[in-house]
Amino acid sequence: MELKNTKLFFPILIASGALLVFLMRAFMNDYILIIVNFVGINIILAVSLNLTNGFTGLFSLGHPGFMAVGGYVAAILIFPAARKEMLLPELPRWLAMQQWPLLPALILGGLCAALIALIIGFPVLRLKGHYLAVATLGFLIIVRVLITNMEKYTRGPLGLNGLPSLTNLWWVFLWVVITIYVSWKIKHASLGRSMLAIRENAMAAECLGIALAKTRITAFVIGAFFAGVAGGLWAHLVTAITPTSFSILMAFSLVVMVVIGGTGSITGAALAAILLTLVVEILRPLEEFLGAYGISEIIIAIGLLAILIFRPRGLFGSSEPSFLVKRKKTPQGSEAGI
Amino acid sequence: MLELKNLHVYIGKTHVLEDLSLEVKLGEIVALIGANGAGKTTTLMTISGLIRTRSGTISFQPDMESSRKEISRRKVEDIVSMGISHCPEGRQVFTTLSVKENLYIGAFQRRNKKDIKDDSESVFNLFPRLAERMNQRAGNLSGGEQMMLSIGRALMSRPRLLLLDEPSLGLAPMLVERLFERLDRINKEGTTILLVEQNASMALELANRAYVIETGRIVLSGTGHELSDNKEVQKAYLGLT
Repeated sequence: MELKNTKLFFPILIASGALLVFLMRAFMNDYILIIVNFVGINIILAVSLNLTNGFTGLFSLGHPGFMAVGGYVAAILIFPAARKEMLLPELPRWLAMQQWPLLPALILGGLCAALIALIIGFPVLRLKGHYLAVATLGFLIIVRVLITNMEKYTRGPLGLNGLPSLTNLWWVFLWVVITIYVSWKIKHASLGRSMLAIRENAMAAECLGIALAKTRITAFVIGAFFAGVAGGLWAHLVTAITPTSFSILMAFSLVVMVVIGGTGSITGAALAAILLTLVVEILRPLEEFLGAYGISEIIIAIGLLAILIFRPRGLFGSSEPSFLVKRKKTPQGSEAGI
Repeated sequence: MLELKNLHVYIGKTHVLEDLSLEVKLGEIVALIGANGAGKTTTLMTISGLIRTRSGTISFQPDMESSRKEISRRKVEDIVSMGISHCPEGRQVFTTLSVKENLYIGAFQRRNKKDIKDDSESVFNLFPRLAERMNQRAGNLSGGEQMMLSIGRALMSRPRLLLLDEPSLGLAPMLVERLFERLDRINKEGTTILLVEQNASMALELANRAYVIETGRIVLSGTGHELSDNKEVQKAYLGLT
């Protein structure tokens, strides 16, 4: 009975999500729709960051860097050829002629981000803990500097504006579903278990035959792919992209989502993404009313401190809510000893 | 089955193993005893590939039918898949994961779900306590239970040779005795064991043969009984005068 429920739960969840998307698009105004889109993109980001920071225990701050890569790749590919001539006259001919639809551009953006994760992963993932955090932060800065200086492709600090507004709630919903599905599958397969094992105790994991470097890089690359896709969605929602769009502050708030949700919990990361995005939006009028900008950051920081003090493992720890995971009853009671 | 020949191992600049040779034959329990810092753990880590040798050879033959292979330059994960499982010192369970998940991670390299399930059943048979605690977090187990889990997890890769590092560490004497009974059973069921122990009397009683290691060299070897009758060993490791 229980098993049956679990199996049915996901299709029901997806169907009701789709219904919600349909209703929102029919009845909500544009402002709310945009916020819901941001919520969705943040879910993708938080859930994918959870693969590296949560499952595998690699403290990465580089997620916005991968977003930037994916965002720019998608933006350059999608931009109408006629406008490209004006905005980016120096673009190589073969690239200037491209005018891709959204989906393949998103995927290629994600793949580029994944490729870069693969390349930087080999040296960077040898580091641990805060050394890794600093290195990934360095990566984020390098990406921004490169984008600023590759004016031929990116228009440098001016960024690209007037991108076609292609991202809508259906696309975001699709990628939210894919991201959650993929991480769910990973988490409950031997790949996910080996990631968790590495996080818990790298030496013991190695003794059991888990290839540390390979597993770490896999987590990093998959996370980067979804960050790249999210970057593309983000760019075509905001319809502009600049090197400063992908900031350290963003890296910070994504990490906060993972920590609040519970490092390793998919449900937690998704809920924390929803919560944090909404809190920021709800507090915005208050900030304007009081003329005290930055209140939302302060409140989020206080919330983070409270979580770290009172629930250091996050809202959900590493686990998922019990009604989503099938568990057998354990036999109870026995004599002591071995 | 396993033969170490003239191993030299350095950790940083320290010469930890000096010209160490030892052999484990198929079906045996071999104990490696010695004081703190003698190089026991290093020996195991060298065999499983966690530490590289400077020189010397390690050859391994999983069973009579297969050929001898030199493994000192192989990756850890290859060595595991060849049939050597290393159960590291100090329990090292994955504390936030459940007992069952811990065991399944042990079978990481295997794909046949039914075999894995059967093997976890036989671990539960061996250590019934683990079956009762199947869905509990490994961090909530007692020390003895964590040790059982750690051994059970190492068995999940179906090793031909099990490397055990100080299984008695921090366990009550009665538990140690029961644990050693289980090790004997594991051995009888077909797994060769190389055991590193500080608890020399228990180890010598269990082992077919044993080596005494001092500052990175093998200084004595013989059957378990020979060594426990040896005056030097009695004095240095068994606390008898």
